[in-house]
This record gives sequence, structure tokens and C-alpha cells, in this order.
Amino acid sequence: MELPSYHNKNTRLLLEFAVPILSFGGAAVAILADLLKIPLDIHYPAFGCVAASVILAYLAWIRPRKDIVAISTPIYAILFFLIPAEFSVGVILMLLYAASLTILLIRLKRRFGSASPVSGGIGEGPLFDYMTRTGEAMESVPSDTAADAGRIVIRFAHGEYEMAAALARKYLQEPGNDVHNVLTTAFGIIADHDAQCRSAPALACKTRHFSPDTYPLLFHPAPDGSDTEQESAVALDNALLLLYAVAMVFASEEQKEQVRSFHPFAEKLAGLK
Amino acid sequence: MKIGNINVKISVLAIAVFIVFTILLLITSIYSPEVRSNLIWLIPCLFMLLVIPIVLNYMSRSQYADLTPQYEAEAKTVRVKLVNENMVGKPVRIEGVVERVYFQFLNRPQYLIADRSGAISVKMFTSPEEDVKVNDVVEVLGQVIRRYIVTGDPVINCVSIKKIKR
Repeated sequence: MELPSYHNKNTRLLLEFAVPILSFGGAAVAILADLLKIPLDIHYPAFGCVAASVILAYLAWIRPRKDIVAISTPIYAILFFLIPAEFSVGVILMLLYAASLTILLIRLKRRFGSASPVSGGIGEGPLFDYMTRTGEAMESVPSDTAADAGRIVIRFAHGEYEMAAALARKYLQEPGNDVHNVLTTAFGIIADHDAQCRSAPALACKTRHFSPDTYPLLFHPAPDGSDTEQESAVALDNALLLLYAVAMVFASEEQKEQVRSFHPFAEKLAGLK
Repeated sequence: MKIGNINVKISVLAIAVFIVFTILLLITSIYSPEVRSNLIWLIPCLFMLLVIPIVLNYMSRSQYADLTPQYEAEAKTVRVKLVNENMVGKPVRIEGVVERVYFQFLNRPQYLIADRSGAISVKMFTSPEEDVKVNDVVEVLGQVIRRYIVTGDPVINCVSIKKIKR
């Protein structure tokens, strides 16, 4: 389980500061050398712009949403400052390039969000709290049931709704699983979902719903009953999140490992991404 | 323009290129006798600037028209929220409101479609059958792909986008 690293945050912050400092710093060195009449090849301070471009590209790359413009800046830096060309590299070019990199950095931060995910990892955040709550409230769920829940989440995340529905129906048909509880309702919702997908384009069909006494075990609060479509959508999200939590708490270590890789999907269902 | 059952559209950019080169040819042919002597092949070349985009658009549109019934049969209706990177390559159908339209002038429109669960980019690599505008309610058929082929968030490679009434 990953925990947020303040060291990483500080490193990122330093890298963000490094972009304007290196690029404008390179230009400043070139200006100073010119003023003090120090013979200095302009390509040396231009390395500041190249380094700043590489850092900007790295900062763009580590974000969940990639900014192709920022990622491609090292190519331009190499073309402008390293490869011999007909035009001469000058302080004006360096200053303009440094200003462009700074604008791109601001754009990256404003339009492409933070480099870190909303929650630091599986080991914290509302989803982790929900898993803990589910584990405490359900006390013990057989590992076979948890494995079924995990398989359903995996199939569902892959868009294989028939397979997920078939697994859910198989679970419900097994002797002893016909007891009405929050888990069988969740399996039932998944079993019904495939039929709804086939009846395109209508999504709002009659769906099983969780009973009010099970609401404390659900991630999303139930919407008011006036909107059937929204009610069905929330019921499906709650069913999937419950199955995910059950798999993550009660399944075997091997199964948990498989289900853990679908954490981003669960975060999306939980509205955290 | 309609060729067979296919509604062929030429992009504004292709028309602009044709107009610019027509003007250039006119001016140079007035001042240069050498250009005037070559007009016999320069004029057909000029028209190729229109013909080639039309042919390419016809080919892509007919290809997409052939694919549409296949997607209609196979695609599952999903909410935007359920589209995730594990679904890459899967045919899907989504319904939603068009929030933004980009690059329509290039005949490669990109839409931002939102339903009540979220919003997703829908990319189309040819012109759509009908003009889709912001605030239209549409049904999209397509395949889940990554934004930059191998990386990026999941988006939809659109095969068909149709306005629907709600």
C-alpha cells in the first residue's frame, strides 16, 4: 500500500521551480557574460533551457493526463539550442524560450491538474475508510464469496457484463446464497445489469435496490426515489463498490492482489477520480 | 455532396488551400509566361487539391458506414463513468449531451460528451453523418481507445454519432 510521500511532493515542487530558474538563469548568465565581456559560448548557458525543457517534459509525463505539448519541449530545445542551424542562438531566443516554458508550466498546472492522484493510495482516503467499515460491519464473509465478488469486479471493469452477470447468477443459484442480505442484493444488481445493457438505448429499467436498513453499508447515499435512472445508476455503483470492498477485505492474498489493480476503477465509481 | 448513399463533406481547410493556390496560380500566370505554358497540367493539379480530400472522405465515410451495423449489434450501452482503461478495444454505446466540439473544420471532429455520471472525449477520424452541435443529445457508437494510442486516459474512437430525441 502506497502512502503519500512528502519527499516526492517536495521534489516535484523543486522541479517546478527549476523550470523558470534554469531557463531564465541560463539567459541571465548569457546576459552577464555579455555585459562583463567574458568570452562564453552561448551554447553553455543554453543548456539551462534544455534542462528546463527536460524537467517540464518529466512533470508532464508523470501526470495522469498527459500534456503532449509540454512532453515534446525537449525536441524543440535540442533543435533550437544544440543542433547547429542557420540562425544564431542569442539571448532574445533564450528569453522567449524561457517565457514559453514558464507559460507551459503554468498551463500544465492549471489544465492538467496535480501529478498525484486524488487519494494517496489504497491505504488512505474515503475508499479505504469504506473498506475498513465494510470489513468491520460484515465480520466474516467466506473467501469463496469474496473471490466471486473480486472476479465480478474484474469482469465488470473489463466491460464483460455478460460474464459478470453469469458469475453473479451462479452465486445466487448456489444453495445457501438465497438469503436476502446486502451482498445478495449487490450480486442481484450485477446479474440484472447485463439485461439492461442489451435493451439499448434505455438504461433506466427496473432494478433491484438496497433496502434502507443496508444503507450504512453502502458507499454512496441513496438518492431520493423520484429519479429512477439515477437511483439505478447509484445502486449499480454501490453494488460494485461493495463487492470490491468485500474482495479486498475477505479474499485470499492472491485474489486481493488481482483486485487491487482495479483500484483506479473503484476510485472512479466512488467519484474520487 | 452525395456519392451513392454516402454524404461526402469537404473540410473548410481543403477549400481554403484550394482558394489560396488558385489565387497564386492566377497571379503567377498573369506575370509569368513560363507558368502560362504549364497551365495544362497545373490546372488539373489544382483540382486534385479538391478531388483528393473528397475521395479520402468518401472512402473513410463508406468504411465507417459499413462498420456501423456491426457496432450497433455488438456495442454495450454504458454510462460514461464505467468507461475505464480496462475496456480498451471494447465497442460501446453512450448517450449524452454534447458539451464541446473541436476541430470540426478539419473533418476530424472531437466532442466532449457528458451524461449524468461524467464526461468523455469522443474522437472521430472522419466527418459525421449529420452536423452535431453543442447541447445536442446524441448516441455515440465507438471503441474505447487510449488518448495517445499507448498512453493517456480512455476516450472513444467514434464510428457513428447520431442526434436522438429525448
